[in-house]
Amino acid sequence: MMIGLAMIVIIIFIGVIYYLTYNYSEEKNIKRLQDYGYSLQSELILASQVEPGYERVITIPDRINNIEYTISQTPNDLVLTYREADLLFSIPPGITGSPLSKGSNIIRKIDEDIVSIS
Amino acid sequence: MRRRRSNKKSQVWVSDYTISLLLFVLAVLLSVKIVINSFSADTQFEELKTDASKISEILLSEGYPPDWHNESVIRPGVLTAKRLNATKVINAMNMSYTALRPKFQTAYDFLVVFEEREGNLTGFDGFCAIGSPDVVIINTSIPVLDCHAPDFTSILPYDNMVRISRLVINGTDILRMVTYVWS
Repeated sequence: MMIGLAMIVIIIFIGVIYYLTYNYSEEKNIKRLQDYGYSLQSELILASQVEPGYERVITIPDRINNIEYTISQTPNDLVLTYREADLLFSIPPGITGSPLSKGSNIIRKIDEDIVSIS
Repeated sequence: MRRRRSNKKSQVWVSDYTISLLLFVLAVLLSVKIVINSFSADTQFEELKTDASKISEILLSEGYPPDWHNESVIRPGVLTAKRLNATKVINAMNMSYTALRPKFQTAYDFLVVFEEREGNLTGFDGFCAIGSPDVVIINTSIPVLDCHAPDFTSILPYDNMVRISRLVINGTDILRMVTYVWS
């Protein structure tokens, strides 16, 4: 009886720890992606503010701290998707070329109002 | 005689059992409490600090675009040439909270006010604060709006709150920009 009671308590304890760890890691993952999206947004804002001739190569990793995610772009937003969550980051107008994607991306300021991504 | 001895033994066993069970349950409860605390309070407080820094950093920039208004805003900075731009401050104060919060990439509630040297708040064209409309700003509106102080009793109870003060130049004055973030 005593062993049975101890087992129940330990199973509940492990369940609580698993639940807390899972929630905690999910929140951390979202936070990491938010930070990453914010820094990508900063790159695009910087490119749109500087003089023509600016060029910068950025590499977007396949995974961030082992987090699987997707990246896409609309005319107004950069979208990072993690599971069901879409994280939106507004981007400056006048961004042309192919959207930001995983791997190497070249950001060029080619004109006063145009930033090109390739 | 034999029976008496065996009874005494069983009494010792029951008290041992009870004490060990109590210790075990106490140890489990303590462990759960420690685990829950380490997962929630400290982490949340660190995140609040990070978000408060980020909000104050974004606000103390020119913002993007440099001449942003409520429809075009990407980063709602309130400075122009490193000085407070009243138009931008009014725009930020006038923006709806639901539209403003995603611009700071925060999941927490926040409030930003500008304090004068004496501690009173500086009002901008009828507005007292940027951020959460749930916080009541104590003010007098006669003859003109005069903002005094934020009253956080309306958002009680909150778990954690972070307050960050930074100095900002407003014309010829120096104001204290105070950022509150809570959960």
